[in-house]
Amino acid sequence: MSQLLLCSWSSIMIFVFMVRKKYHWTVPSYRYILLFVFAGMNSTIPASLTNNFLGQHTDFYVFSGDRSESFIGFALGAGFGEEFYKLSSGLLVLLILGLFKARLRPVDRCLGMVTVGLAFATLENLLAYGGVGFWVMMTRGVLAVPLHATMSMIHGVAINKAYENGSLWPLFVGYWVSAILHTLYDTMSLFMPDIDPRLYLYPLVGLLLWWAWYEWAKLSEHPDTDSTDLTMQDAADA
Amino acid sequence: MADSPNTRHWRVLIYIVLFLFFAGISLLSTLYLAKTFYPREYDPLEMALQSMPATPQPGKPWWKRVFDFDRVPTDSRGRQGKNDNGAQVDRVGTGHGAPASNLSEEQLALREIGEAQVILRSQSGISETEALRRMRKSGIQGPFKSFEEERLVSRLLLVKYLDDQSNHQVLTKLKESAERAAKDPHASFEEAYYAGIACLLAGENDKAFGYLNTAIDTWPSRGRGYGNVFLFLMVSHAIRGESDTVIQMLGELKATYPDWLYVETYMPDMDDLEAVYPEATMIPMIKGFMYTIVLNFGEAEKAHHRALEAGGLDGSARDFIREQLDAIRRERDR
Repeated sequence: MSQLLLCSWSSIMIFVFMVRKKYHWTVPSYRYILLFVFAGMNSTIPASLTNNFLGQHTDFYVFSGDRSESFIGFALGAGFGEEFYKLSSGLLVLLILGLFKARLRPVDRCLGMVTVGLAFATLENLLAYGGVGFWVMMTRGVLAVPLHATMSMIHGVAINKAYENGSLWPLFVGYWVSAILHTLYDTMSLFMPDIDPRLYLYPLVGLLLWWAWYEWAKLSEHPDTDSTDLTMQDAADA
Repeated sequence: MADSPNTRHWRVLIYIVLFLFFAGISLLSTLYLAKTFYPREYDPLEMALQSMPATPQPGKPWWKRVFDFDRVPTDSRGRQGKNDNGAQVDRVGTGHGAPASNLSEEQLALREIGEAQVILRSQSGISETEALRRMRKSGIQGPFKSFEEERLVSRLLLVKYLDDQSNHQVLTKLKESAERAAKDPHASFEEAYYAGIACLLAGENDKAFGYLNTAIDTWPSRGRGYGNVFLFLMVSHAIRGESDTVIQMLGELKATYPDWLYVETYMPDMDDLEAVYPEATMIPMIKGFMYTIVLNFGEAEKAHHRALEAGGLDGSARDFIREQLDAIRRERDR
């Protein structure tokens, strides 16, 4: 139980904080949230298979002694691979919900995508890092889990843009941006081995969290259309 | 005219499908191209290590092992008795082979890297192929390189086999690798010893006998390592039914084998060999003697009786066992 808590404390805190900050008049649909959680957990499977594939069948192995091979391994596996699986699992949920004509608000879509990222990070902690020390898990809770959350926030913003404009390109932009940032996070230490990674990882994650917070704050709980929550008039009456 | 929300909604759904398709295809194509143009370069040694089934890890479900790719340190189970570190010598001497003092600096450096990888394999659970890869990444070159790699592979296979002794495929590869290492011009007393152990475990006592004799003849000095060779050579003699030699060696056991007191470390090895050679009834006789010298009379009697009941012992062995049983009775009566 304590191991579960150690792996999930950061995810829970981020989720609770986001909900309390935004949902004043309404509540998120927890049925949909569960779907996003499920999707996030499932996305760890293809991510791990991809990393295993790279390590066993190609030269691009993250623990390769060769810096360039290691970089490409991180880019393909952790960057483009993991971000694709997280984004696509969230998109699949949105697709299914959309087919059943469930209409989500922009704030719900963002929360859903961030939930995918948090679920992914939690399961990654449990399965790949379970058994490591207390302080390692605390550090992961401060760095890696918020990183996954902010990458998923990028996905959420991109999806909202796609819905808003009715266009395809924001999805690709969001995917590439998140993949590049994730790769950067994982590979900076390769190119600056003499510098303590904390000196640049904490500021990077801090900057991303600030941006994600700004985007979350910008979103309105009450868009003008399609949701099951209170209308503006009802909110005013309440 | 602007699209209605409904139209936009359905269009976005189509775009989601298109994105999933194109981005998914791109990722899979990239992975395929990476595998095609930058395949992992395995050589025969790595192929030998790769082709074995994974060591089963008790208590770890398969879905959790998916995430293990040299990231998660695990504590492997260990028995003291398995740590037959034949390389421990009390003083440097001259053998017929190549003792460590005769190695070049480069070979010593490569060997140290190899030994470190064996430790990492047994303590931290890195894979065998990763261990070999790390040794190769050191960049140390020389005529000894292929020998040191083969030596590392045989050590890794030994660790793997000791983790799961039901894996006969590993044992076969261990024996082949150990024999190749022992036949190399760079081989020393150690390689002969490990080849002897591997052949002994694989049920090929005649080959083991040859290797162990070579090892004991070329071992630089007395000590724990020499004692281990002595012990297993004695077992090899027992399997061959040479009771007089075995009895004589038992008489020298305490003087030659420093770890005679720590029966819990080597008795599992005796159990393993008894399972491989059930017809070798002198192995229980050896076990009985070993229990006697540590005053575990209960186990000693059981082992001796088992040897007598199994039959197949010659007169010298039966007389020896009866003497042992009489001695135990006298001790008990005191």
